[in-house]
Amino acid sequence: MMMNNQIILVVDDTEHILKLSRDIFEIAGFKVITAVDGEQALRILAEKKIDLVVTDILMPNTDGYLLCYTIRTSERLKDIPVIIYSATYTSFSDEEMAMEMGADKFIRKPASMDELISAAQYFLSDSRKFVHKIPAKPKSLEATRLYKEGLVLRLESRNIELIERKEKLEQGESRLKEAQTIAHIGSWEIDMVNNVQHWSDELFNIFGIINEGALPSTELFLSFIHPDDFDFVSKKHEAFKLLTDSSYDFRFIRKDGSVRHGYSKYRFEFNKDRRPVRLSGIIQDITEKKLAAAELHTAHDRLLFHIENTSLGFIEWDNQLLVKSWSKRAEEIFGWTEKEFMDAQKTGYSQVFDEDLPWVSKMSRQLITGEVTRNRVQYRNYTKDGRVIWCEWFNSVLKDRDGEVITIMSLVQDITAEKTSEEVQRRKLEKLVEERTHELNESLKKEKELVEMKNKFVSIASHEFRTPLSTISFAAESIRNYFHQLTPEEIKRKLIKIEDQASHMTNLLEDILTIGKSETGKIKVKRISLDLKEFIDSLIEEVRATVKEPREINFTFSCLSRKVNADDKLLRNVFNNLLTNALKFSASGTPVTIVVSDFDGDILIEVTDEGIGIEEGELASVFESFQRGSNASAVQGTGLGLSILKKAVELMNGSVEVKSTINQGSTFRVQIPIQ
Amino acid sequence: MKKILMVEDTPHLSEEIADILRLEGYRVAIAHNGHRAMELLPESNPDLIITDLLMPGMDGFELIRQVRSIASFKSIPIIILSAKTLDDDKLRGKEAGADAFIRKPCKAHELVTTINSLLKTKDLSKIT
Repeated sequence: MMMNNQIILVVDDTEHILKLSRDIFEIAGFKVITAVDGEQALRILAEKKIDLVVTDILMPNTDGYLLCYTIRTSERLKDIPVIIYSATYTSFSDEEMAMEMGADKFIRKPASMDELISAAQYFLSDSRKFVHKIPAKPKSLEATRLYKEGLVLRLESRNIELIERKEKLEQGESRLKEAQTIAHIGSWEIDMVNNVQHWSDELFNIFGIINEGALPSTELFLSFIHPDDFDFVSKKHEAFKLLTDSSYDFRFIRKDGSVRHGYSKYRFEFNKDRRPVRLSGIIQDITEKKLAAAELHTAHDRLLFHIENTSLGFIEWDNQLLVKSWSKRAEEIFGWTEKEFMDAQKTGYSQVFDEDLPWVSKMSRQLITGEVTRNRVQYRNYTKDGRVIWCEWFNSVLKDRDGEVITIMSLVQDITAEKTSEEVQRRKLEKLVEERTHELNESLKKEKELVEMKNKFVSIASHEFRTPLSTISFAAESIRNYFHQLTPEEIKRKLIKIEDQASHMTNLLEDILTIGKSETGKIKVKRISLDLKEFIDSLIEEVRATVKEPREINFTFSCLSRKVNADDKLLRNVFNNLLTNALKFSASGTPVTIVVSDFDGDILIEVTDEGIGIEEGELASVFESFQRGSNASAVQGTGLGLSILKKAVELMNGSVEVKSTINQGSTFRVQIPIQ
Repeated sequence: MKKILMVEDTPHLSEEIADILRLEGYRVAIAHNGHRAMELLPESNPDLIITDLLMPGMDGFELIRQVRSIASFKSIPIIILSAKTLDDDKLRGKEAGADAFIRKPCKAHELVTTINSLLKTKDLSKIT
C-alpha cells in the first residue's frame, strides 16, 4: 500500500458518504479530513494545509460551489485542486456551473472506488502543474446568485414534493386503516428475522382492545379464541413451522364477551435464499356474513318445509323437462316417488293424458324455449296406477342472465273433484241453453204465426171492406148514371143503403182498431169498484133502446155481493156483445135470458137466446175474426164481435164458452175472476 | 134479351149490381151461393155468369169447374167479381175456367163493358 502524507479534505453532509469516502481514500494511502459542510471545510482549510478537496454540492450553510469559489479566489488556497463529488440529481448545468466556479473535476455519485482514487491520485501527483481556472469575478458572482436562487427553488419544490409524498403515504395509510375498519379486516405481520410482531389498529378493534396499549403477540391472539376452536387454531399456529400459506374460519370471544366469527389468512415471505423473513396475514370479522348465510340457510329450510307441506305438488324440471325434484305432495298426487318418476321418464314415459298430449306438448315447448315464461293450464294426467286425473299446473320458467332457460318450476294441484262438478255444471248449463233455445224457437214460431195471422187478418179485413165499398160505389153510380130511370123511392132506398154500408164500415173500423189495440197489448186493465147489478141494469136499458121492436129480456142477479172490482170498459164490451148477438140472431118474439152469479171468487155470466143457433161444425171457429155463421148472412155484422169479446174476457183472465143447437138457440157462458 | 146469372152471398151488393144490369137491359137471376147457382142454372139458362169467390158452402172456383163440366155451359162467359186481391186467386180463377177477373170495388162501367165485350165475342164465335 502506497503511503504518503498528502491530505484530502472530504466535504459532505451525509454521514455514511463521509465515512465511505474516508475509507476509500485511506485505503488508497491518503490522509483524510472530513467536514460536514462548506463552512467547516473553510475553517479547516484556514488552519491546515490541504492537498485536495473533494466536496458535495448540496450542503447546509456553505455549499460546494461557494466553497470552490472561495478556494479559487483565495490567494493562499487557489492552487488546491477541487473535485466535485455530487448526487445524481444534479443536472448537467450544475456540472457547467461547477467548472465555472473553478472545480477541476465533476464526479457523479455513486462513483466506483477506482474512479475516485484515480481522480485523487491524478490531481495529487503534482498539483502545481495544473493551472486552475479562475472564475471571472462578476460573472461568477452573478452565476452564484442565479445558482443560489435556482437552488432554493429546486430545494423548495423538492421539499414540497417530499411533503406531498409523505402526505400521500399518510393518506394511503389512513385509507387503508379506514378500509380495514369498514371491512372488519385487521392485518398483522411478524418480522421473522427480528421476531417482532405488528398488528393494525383494526385488528385490535376486532378483538375489542383498541387503545388499551396491549402488545401484539401470538399469545394475545390465542387468548381470544373460542374454547371450542382453541385446539384447532393452536394447531394451525404450530403449523407455522411448515411455512405454508393457509386460511381458516374460527370463532373468538371479544373483550366485551360477544362471540364472533373470524376468518384468518396468512402468507410467508422469503428472501433470496428461500429463508422466511416475514409472515403477514389478515383477520376478518365475518360474523355478519356468517349470520346472513345462516339466515339464508334457514330461509331455504323454511321454503322446503312449505313446499313439502302445501297442498300443491312442487316439481322442478330441467330445460329438457326431465324432473330435477319432485315433492312429497307430487308423489301423493301422481303415485310416483321422485326416483320412480325419474326412471320412468328415462324410458320415455309421459304423465300427460293421450288426448291432451298434442297441445300440452306444444305448450311445454313454449316453456322450454322460454317463449312463454309462465302460465296456468289445466289438463288431464295419468297417475302411476293408470287413473286419469284433472290437474291444474302453475308453471314458471327460470332463465339465466343470457336468457337461457335453466329450470321450469311447476306447482300442481289435483282438481278432478272440481272438474267433475264443473262438468256437471257444464251439462246443466248446456241443458239450460238447449231449453232456452227451444223456448226461443217456440216463441219465434209463435211470432211467425202471429205475423202470418196478422197478414191474414189484414187480407181478410181488406176483403171485408171491399164488399160494403162495392155496394156504396155501385149504388152511388146508379143514382148518378140512371137518375132519370129511377123512381124517387128507388133512389131513397139506395141512399139508405149507402148510409147503412158506411156505418157498417165505421163499425168494422172500430172493431178492427179494438182488436189491433188488444193484440199489441195497448189495452190496460183498469179495475174500479162498481155495483155489478146496477151496471148490468143500465146496460140492458141502453141495448133495449137500440132495438127497433120491444124484446123480452130476463135478468137474474144472484151474487152474494153487488160490489165487484172490474174494468168497466171491458165488462161493458162483454155484455154488449153477448146481449146484442142474442137479440140479433133471434126472432123478435123470443126471450133473452141473462143470469149473473158468483162462484168461488169468479162471476159467471150466462146469456141465452132462442135464435137461429150455430152449425155444430162452425162452433169451434165462432170466436175467430171474420168468421160468420153460414146461416148469418142475413144479419148485419162484422164477424169481429165474438173475437173482440173473447179478447176482452182473456184480458180479465176469464174464459168464454158456447153451447148451441141449430134453430133452437145459443148459450154463451163467461167466467171472470174478480177481486 | 141476354140473361145473366149472378152468384153473390152479400144481398145488398147483389141487389145493387142486379139493378144496374137490369137498367143496362139484361135479365138477371141471383144466387146467394154456389149450390143455389147450380140449381138455378138449367131453368135460368144464362148467357153469362158473374160469380163471387168467397161464399159459404160451394165457393166460386168450385162453381166454375162444375159449370164448365156441363157440356152446354162449356163455353159460357164467366166473370169473377171478387174482393180477393191476390194474383194467385186470379190465376186459380183462370185455371178453373173464368174469362175475366174484376176486383171489388169496381166501376159499374168496367163491369158492363166487360159483360158486353164477352157476349159480343161469344156471338162472333158462334157465327164463325
